[in-house]
Amino acid sequence: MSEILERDRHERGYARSEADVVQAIGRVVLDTDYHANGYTTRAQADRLGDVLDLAPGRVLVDVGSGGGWPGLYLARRHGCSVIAIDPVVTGVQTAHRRIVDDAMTGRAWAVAGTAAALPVRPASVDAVVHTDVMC
Amino acid sequence: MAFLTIEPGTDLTPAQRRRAGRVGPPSVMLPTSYPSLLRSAGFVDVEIIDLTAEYRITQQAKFDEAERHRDELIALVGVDEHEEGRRDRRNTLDGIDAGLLRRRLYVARRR
Repeated sequence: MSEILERDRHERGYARSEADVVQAIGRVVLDTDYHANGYTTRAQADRLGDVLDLAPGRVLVDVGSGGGWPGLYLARRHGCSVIAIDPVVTGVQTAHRRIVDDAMTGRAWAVAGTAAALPVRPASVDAVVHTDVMC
Repeated sequence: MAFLTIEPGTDLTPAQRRRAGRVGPPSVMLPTSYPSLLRSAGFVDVEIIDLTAEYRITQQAKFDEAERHRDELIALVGVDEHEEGRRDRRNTLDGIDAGLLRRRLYVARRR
């Protein structure tokens, strides 16, 4: 039951993240134009990319990526591939639109899934990131 | 693996932990610690970086921007939800200042 309520809360959040005012606040607070609704700033996302040694040819998984922040941003910045995973369909749809808009099809994928059952084969990725998922 | 999270502060009394649960993000109260979770998942090389000062700045910016865009946000979510959010943002700031909440970056590797 709590999982359903939590998913419902996130569905509402992702839907509202489309609003101009929410986008404007995100640009100021987090320094990003992705549909981010957590606490991860661009500077912190950059730090994640650096410590994970992301580079072309490597595969990153972003667990609980919502609308694609920061996984899609990191893939764009570092040239790696990314699988952005989220259980909330609204978030996955937002991330997919961003992939298309940024011409990242072929090296970025937004898919529905959960951390408990990741839709990737064991040992098939180089790095995993998640931000504000467990809080 | 690298992840960012918010968690209760260190050495909190039971009452402070309860307050941290009220003023922090919805799932801030973890029944165990991240280092023990990482160890049980096979990660042996764990680096922890405290980012609480940055979290304080982010939370203040969230509060300030929500105030600045008050009318637009009320049009989006309604006055009741906006006021509830305003209280939550204020309480979170107080919780950070009281040492109840902290933000950390975990970087974990398998050998």
